[in-house]
Amino acid sequence: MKTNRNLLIVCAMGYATSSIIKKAITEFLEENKIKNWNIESTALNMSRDYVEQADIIVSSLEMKQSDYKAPIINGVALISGIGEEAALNEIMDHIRRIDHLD
Amino acid sequence: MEAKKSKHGSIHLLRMEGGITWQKILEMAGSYAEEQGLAKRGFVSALLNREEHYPTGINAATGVAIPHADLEFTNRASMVVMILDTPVMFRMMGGGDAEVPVEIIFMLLMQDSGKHLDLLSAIVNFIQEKEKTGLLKTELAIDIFSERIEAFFRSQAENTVG
Repeated sequence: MKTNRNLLIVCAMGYATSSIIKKAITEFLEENKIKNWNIESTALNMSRDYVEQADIIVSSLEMKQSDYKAPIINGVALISGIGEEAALNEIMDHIRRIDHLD
Repeated sequence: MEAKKSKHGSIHLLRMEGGITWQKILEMAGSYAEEQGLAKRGFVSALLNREEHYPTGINAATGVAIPHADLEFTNRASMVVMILDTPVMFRMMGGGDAEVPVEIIFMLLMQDSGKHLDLLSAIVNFIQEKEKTGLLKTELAIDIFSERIEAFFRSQAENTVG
């Protein structure tokens, strides 16, 4: 299992919604004892290099999946609370799948 | 428009009729923030521009929106909460052209990007439960926010003095 997997959270400004989503995901991964994933957040216009290195992207804004290699998950549910469990499960499925590749 | 301020003036609560466009309501709120010295000049257009490209409507327990602009436009770390009698349609965050009827708007004026997680967590905690968003519509709203959030703004103000 690689130790440096990257989950990148993207929002428009890089300070508000992404930090809410980051907190939710950090807590979720701790609860599930996932330790080999780095979680970073950034603003969309700053993120090109970051994005290239991301294994999973969670975003609060619309991003075209075809423009990116990494799977993009809509993170708004982690703010509204509606559909939160489904979003977290989707993230976990990707983590398991990617970890399994190693 | 009826305005109330918390004890230390970092939380402003505006009761508004609503029922207008999101552009109009953000123009009113943004101008208010500029007049009150919470935001620098240029905030209104930055706010509108951001909302146009990256909408912040959220379909939570109640429809809410969390409009904000770049940190450079903040004069004083604060928050303007607008409680609307008639909802205003906002486009949904990350949701293409979907719209959400918004009853409560939390306009955020943040300063240090590393220190506002407590505030954001408190907002998220509020918007996820119907009981709490209901409370916000009562006269108690300003007290609820003052108690939990004002301390946050005060600590931030102390850190940024000078």
